[in-house]
Amino acid sequence: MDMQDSLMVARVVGAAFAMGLGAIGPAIGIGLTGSRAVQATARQPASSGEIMKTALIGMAVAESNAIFSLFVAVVLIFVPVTNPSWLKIVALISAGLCMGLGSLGPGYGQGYSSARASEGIGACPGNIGETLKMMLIGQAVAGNPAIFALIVSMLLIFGSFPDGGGLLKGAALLGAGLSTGLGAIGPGYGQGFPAGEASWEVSRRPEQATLLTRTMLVGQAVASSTTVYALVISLLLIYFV
Amino acid sequence: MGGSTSQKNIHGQKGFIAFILRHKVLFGVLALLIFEICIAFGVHPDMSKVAEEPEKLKHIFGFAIPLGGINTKTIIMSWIIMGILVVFSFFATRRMKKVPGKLQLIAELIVGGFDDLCNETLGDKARKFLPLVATIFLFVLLSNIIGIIPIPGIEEPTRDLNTTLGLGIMVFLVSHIAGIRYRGIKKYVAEYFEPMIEIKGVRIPNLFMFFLNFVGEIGKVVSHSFRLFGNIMGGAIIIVVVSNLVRYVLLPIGLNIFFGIFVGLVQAFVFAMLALTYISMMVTE
Repeated sequence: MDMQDSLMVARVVGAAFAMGLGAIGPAIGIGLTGSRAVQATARQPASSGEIMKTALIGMAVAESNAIFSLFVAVVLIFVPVTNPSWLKIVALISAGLCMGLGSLGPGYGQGYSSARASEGIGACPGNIGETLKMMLIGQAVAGNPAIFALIVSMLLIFGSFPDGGGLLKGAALLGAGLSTGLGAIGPGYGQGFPAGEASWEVSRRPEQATLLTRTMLVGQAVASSTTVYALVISLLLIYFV
Repeated sequence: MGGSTSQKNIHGQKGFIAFILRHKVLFGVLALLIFEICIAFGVHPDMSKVAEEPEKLKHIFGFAIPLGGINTKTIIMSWIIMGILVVFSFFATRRMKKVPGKLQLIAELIVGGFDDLCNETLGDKARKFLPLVATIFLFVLLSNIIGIIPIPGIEEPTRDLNTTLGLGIMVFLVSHIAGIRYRGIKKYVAEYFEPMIEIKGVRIPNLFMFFLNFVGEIGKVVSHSFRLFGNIMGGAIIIVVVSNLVRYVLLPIGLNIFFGIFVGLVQAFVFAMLALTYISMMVTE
């Protein structure tokens, strides 16, 4: 096989990893939101419109992780490789793995927070403005690990890796994708909990919104520091090994 | 049946034409679909345009532009959006009345909504940052939505990473400078060393935490701008790919509505709200 054929193999395998793994988390999260929306509607049929609105907006945000995965998969399949080399084969598979694993946790976390927000709206439909605001901020911050995974995948796809590093450089590129990909699962999952509880509480106590936002953001920042470590290690592996 | 005959008599039409007139929306969509399928036979899937390198202006008046040139399309679209916003605000505020007209009503809704949001988050400093946050929201919203106009050449400026990164860096600079101004440089710097090590009541700055907090601040800018870019670019690419696969029949309209209006609105709001939150975290104690 010549280099272009091998690169094509790497591209399709990478795309399969990206979309196949990337579909898991967001789907579970969206399903969770839907289930809580059903519960809330059953308890408060009168406020079904508000619950539906909250659940749909939350689902769309949780879906954005799957869209990132689709983005990477489509780029891998259709965009020709600009700077081919043998190391690029490893880089492309690693990019797919990174984005696929990276959207697992955030998809679930964002889904959990919109699930709790839907429950809260079901209990107190009057405070939809504060709850939606809190939910969107929490979800946006919980989505950071997936964005880091997207950045690392794009660095791996579009970067140029001239041959010469040998096996070590190839292993480093694979490790870079795995580091941010695996490192995004826990933080994404974990950051959903502060976001969800804050959305639930703010729906009942909207006057505490400022304090709750700050506490939620501090909790999420500490939880997300681990994904920052993973990103630092990935960048070290890509550029300094 | 009496109802239908009387309807026939009123309109003076019979049979097939009356049937079409009664279901005009259905037949309109059907006619559009047939029209689209006819056009689609002439179109062949072309996937090479999925992620083209954009055209760039490399020289201006004989001087080379550093950093690989300027993306002219983004610049032109940004200026068009700024123009739309300026014209809109001019006409909305030209003759303001106590009982607002249509344009004034829209402007009042937007400004009033953001005034409330800023007041809740920033308190007495709200009016200082209200223009910035509301403008960011309007600019990003219009940038995200403008892509649904089906004219070649009209593209979302937020599809370009340079736009979103520029906005992100602007928010970063504003929030940090405001933090230094309102709380003083001492408290600002001390926050980077939190949580400090305490030995017998003496607080020692933690150098390791400085490194992590610093990377965290950079990560904020990066995630803030990449979130918007990734969502808009992802949506645009999905629209191109699906349009090619179904040969531009019907489905792209729904996708345009979802990605252009719905995702565009949500992401614009998230971007503005995060800007407000970052500023408030820096400004308030």
